[in-house]
Amino acid sequence: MKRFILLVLFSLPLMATAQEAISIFGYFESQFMGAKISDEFVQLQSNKLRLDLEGQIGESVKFGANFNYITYHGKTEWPVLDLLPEAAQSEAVLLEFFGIEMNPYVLPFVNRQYLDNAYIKLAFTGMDITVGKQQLSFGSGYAWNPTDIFNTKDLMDPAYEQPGHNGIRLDWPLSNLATFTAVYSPQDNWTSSTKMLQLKATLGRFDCTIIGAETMWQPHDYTQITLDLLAPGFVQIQDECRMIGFNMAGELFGLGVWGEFAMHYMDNSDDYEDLLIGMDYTFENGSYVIAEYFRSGIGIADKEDYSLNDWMRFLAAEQKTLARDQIYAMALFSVTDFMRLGLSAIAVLSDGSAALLPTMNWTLLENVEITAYGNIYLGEDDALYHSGMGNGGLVRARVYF
Amino acid sequence: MNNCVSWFGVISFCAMPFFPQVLPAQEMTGEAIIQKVNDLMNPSSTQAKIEMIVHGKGDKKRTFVYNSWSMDEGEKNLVRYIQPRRLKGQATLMLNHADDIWMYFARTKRVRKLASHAKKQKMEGSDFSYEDMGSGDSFLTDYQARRLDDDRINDLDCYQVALLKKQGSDVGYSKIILWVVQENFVPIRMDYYDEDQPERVYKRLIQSDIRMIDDIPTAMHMIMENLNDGTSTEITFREINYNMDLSASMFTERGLRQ
Repeated sequence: MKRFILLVLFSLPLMATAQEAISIFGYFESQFMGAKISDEFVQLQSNKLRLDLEGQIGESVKFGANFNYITYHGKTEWPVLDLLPEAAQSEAVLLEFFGIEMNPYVLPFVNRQYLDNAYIKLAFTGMDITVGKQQLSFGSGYAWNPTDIFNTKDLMDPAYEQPGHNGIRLDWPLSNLATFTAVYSPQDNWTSSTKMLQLKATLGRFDCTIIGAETMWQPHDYTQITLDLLAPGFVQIQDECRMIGFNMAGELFGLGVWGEFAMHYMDNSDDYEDLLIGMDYTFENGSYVIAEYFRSGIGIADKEDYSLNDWMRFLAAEQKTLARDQIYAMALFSVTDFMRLGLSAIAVLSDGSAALLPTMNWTLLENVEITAYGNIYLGEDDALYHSGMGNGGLVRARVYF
Repeated sequence: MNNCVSWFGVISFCAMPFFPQVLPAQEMTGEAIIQKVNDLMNPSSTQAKIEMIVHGKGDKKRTFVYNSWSMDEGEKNLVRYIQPRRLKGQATLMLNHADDIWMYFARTKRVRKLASHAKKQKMEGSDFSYEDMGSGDSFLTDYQARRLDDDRINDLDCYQVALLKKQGSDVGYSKIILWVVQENFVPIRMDYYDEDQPERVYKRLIQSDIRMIDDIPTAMHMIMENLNDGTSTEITFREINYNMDLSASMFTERGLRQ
């Protein structure tokens, strides 16, 4: 298999030479991450090769794909329970086979090779249709997107590329100022598949969007383990969700402003609503500030009520947040034209915890970027951002080709 | 309208149609010269492939290559990066003379609407800001023109015109002085004066290598020097075409995503 992959990788540039319409590019990324957990400083290093291929046939057919190869080294199995408060740990179910205890609450970092995107885009006179595995990102928010039913962002790095999703996407411009979008992302059957309709229009200085979607929320119950002895796992729940949402982005009193609202109607759990409001500003010297407030109805208002399921679903990105009310703020300063320093802060209003994330982005050369993040958690032991989550940081070097 | 050198202007100043002068040179007022410059800098559409080299402090040098399109007399602008690879596919759409800006990030396939304050940001660390790229009528709307004594630069007879910032305008310069070639109305030198220190030249644009392309005198090379920090940005047109039949659908979110 590896030989085949290498053969394909090394053949691509030759194919590109032969077929000028095909463009091949991508990046190599090496990342070092460290965190102090309990009394130990644990380390994880990853290396990622992303190979993008894009091509065009005639005026109306485009295609694209990217192949990712990631290897992990160092601490490649993170015992998640060690990160959680004692109350949540007490709900955990540990397995025991023939006197040997097994901990299923482990976050593994396994070497992977996968096709993240592979799609064909057909551009007709009046509409575009994109078929295949593709990035599907919606919403105007930076740190959170309540109206995006496909992705959950990592607050440490909200601008990182999102994974591809299988689907068919139709974009139908109704005029130069309005576009209708429909997405169908197939699962096992129609009921469990994700359906989304969106109407986006420019009204004055604002982009306004109405979204309706139906999807199957499939979180796990981390207090129940399946009875499959060969591959024990957590029981998966099926909960049909219908979402009506609205988002906008524009300018008010000289500030960039945006907002998202989503109402979720659930079949088997309580309905809930998410609200996000954000604003940003760029100063004459290039410094940039951004702030967002996010209130999530699925988030828990009292930290005493954080359950194991809440924690695990948040850490597994099965839900967008754990806490009810949060603020994200970031300030970026240009030290030179090619280096920016920043400080992000996440404050959880509902449990009193906070995280500070100093950042540095340095464009060392035209195609070489160095990024560094720190994370310092300041909350009490049972709050969302407590030091037990692991103070530390990461350094990432990326070379584009 | 807050701008200094519009991108459309950047292209258009390099590419002004050769119109016969209506008035004898000595009878042209500053306002008439700037009106003429402004009228001539608005071809219906423009397409260009541009190389931009940013000379930072010390020996640091960065090269960018991008395609640029404009239509409706510069009211609509679209820029799409080709190089460096780090930015490949990233695009910026500016409508209403850069009052409305959208950015497309090719790696995340996201479109983000920017507020007008984002216009102040430097374009990839260059000496041009986004507002430099997108607004075209600022010389008429934000400045008062006054003709100065004629001058001669590089053996070319030039009108010298001072643009003085109007009260209430939020442009970033207190004054701009242009040296406009009398023969073809190409401004071959422009001095930008600091907003806070009105007597100090902040940036200087020099245009050169003027060639006739489709009967339009086109400066194929320009350099913007930042006299404050010693940096400069060179722009060279690898290709440029005028009055093409561009579709308005290019200048929409759909076009931005292509």
